[in-house]
Amino acid sequence: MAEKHALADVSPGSVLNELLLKVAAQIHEEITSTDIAALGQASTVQDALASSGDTYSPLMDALASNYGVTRNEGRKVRGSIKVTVAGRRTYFIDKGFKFVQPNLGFSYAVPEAVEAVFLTPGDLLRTGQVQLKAEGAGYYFVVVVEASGVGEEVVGGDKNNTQVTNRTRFQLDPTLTLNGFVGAEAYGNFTSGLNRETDRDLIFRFRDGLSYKGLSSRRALTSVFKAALGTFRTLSVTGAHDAELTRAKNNLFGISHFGMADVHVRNGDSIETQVVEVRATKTDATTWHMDLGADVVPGFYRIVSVLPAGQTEVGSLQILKQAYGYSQATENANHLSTAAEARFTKYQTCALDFTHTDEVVPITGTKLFTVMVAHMPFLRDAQDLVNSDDNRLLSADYLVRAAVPCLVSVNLRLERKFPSEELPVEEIRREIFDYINSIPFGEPLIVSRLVDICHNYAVKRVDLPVLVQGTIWLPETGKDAILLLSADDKLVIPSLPAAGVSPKTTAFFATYLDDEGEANIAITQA
Amino acid sequence: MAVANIITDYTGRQRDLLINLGLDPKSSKTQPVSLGFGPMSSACAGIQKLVQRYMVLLMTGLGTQPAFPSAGSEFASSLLPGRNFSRTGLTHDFNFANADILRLMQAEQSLTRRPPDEQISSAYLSSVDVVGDRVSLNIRVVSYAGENVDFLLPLAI
Repeated sequence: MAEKHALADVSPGSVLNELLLKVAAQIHEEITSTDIAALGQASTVQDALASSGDTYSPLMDALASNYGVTRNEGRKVRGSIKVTVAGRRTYFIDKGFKFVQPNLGFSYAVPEAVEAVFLTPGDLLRTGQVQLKAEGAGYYFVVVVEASGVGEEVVGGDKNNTQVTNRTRFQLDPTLTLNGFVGAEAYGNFTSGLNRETDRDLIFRFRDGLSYKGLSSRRALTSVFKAALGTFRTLSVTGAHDAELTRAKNNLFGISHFGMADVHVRNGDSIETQVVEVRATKTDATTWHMDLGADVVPGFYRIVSVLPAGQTEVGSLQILKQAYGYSQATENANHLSTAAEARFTKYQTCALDFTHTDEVVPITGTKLFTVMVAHMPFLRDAQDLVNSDDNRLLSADYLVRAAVPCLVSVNLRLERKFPSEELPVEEIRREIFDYINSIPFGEPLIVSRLVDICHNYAVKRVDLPVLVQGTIWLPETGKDAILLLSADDKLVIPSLPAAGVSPKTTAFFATYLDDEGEANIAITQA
Repeated sequence: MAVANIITDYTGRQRDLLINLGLDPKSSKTQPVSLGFGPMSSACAGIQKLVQRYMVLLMTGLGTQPAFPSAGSEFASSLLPGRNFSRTGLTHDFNFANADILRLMQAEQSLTRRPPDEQISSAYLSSVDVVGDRVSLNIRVVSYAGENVDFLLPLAI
């Protein structure tokens, strides 16, 4: 500046210096140093691996194409929000209308404008409309929402994944209003977001990209699933020599033969929930029967709730009996002999009886019910991928099964190093959540790792023992059975092949909030 | 006191952007300062530039500029809301800040060759008025050319 304009006074204290040049220099310095650092770091594979931050260099994209690998651009978190309103009228929700979860700091927006209308008999919903339904003295409608950008959902930061669970309460964005608004809550679990793949993640996949894609090894399966299923995390394969594989022993001698394998997949950090409407038949005055086919929600873990359609109360109708079976009316179907083998696979079916009083519908009459189920996403896609004529090994039978979930809850009591300062509880919770969800198949949950995480913060002491509890949803066919574990040292998945549970089939899951909206990872500070 | 000799020829003088809108160097009255870039930029030099430099450094918070931790004074931070303001307290805070600013400006002047009317000799607080949510500082700046400028700096508290 001084060189170009000799008459400009840029000495300290001048307006030009203090209010213009210094401010501009500061802004440019930040941009330039970041760009230079990122550019320098991403210029070679070695530098990208050694960089302190995340880089997204176009050079890496070009390099990755040589290895048959493309960068995963990430996925937005999506979900549905049930909005309760007071009046029966038409509601207009603009595109970008936001709902916020103040405790988690999450914000979701409606991707397209919708109109919530109350339908009279004979009316049909048009494109861009959702139905306003009566509920008690009020009304509600459900809108689809998504996060503003791709990536795993964060709590005040940009690291770990935290999933919004069913019935999590939301508020309107403080800058927005909705006449007659009463409340909002999550309608089913939200999907997991996926971060845009960094250069480092991309480089680690070079080896997978070069691997033979013939589904003949765990690495090949991992490579294929990662490329095809956006939120795929990890898998475990049980084969002929594993006690967990019972399908191959269905012969006269009970000897396992080759050609079959079970692929246990984890397609996300958390278990998702989905709501479907299914018709049930009234069998007597208070009992109804419903059949959930294999195509309803493939391989779901359990039924969360059954309620009459359009009358969503809290809770569920009482389920009297449920029996899981299987259906193989598909091409290239895997070999199955029992309902237990089909549990948590895309062939699983379910027949259930539940109670409900409706004097209007006669016996053998039908009625629509809303069923919420918990499931592993993309299970059908994974199975269809390995069964497709283009990919499948002609001499092999790969059955894709959802990982048996072991839901973890932890209770921690921390003593602060500085009594006047609050601990960043949400950050500690996120780190613990991320650790639990990243434990691979076969590894135990080490309790001392949770203590280590706490000591990364201003924690003077962690009350011992730290009790970790796990609830395994067993793949039984007659009821929703669970197996409870607890440990204060390391939580180990027991080896019970007859029950379908073993370190090769079961994975640890931690959700931020349970179905009641309470924190699964409870932290109190003294 | 008005500027005694009005120099209209600033040939060769370095100029700064004028942010003291409405200030008339010919006037002998105390003039309130209103800060802004204005609808059209104009430049200034001489005593006006000196007053500007003094004001900018007085109101810049100490340590708020990255890489320039010594620039500014603590006077602006003493005007934070919630304090119990009094003439005595404000005079006390101003005097300390003024001493820092004078030291800073005189150190810079010793390294550069500025005309006398752009070099600060001294500055002091003539009076302080606290009315409601505003405090008015009546400041006199004296240059090495012997010229005094009185200006009123109204600040919200």
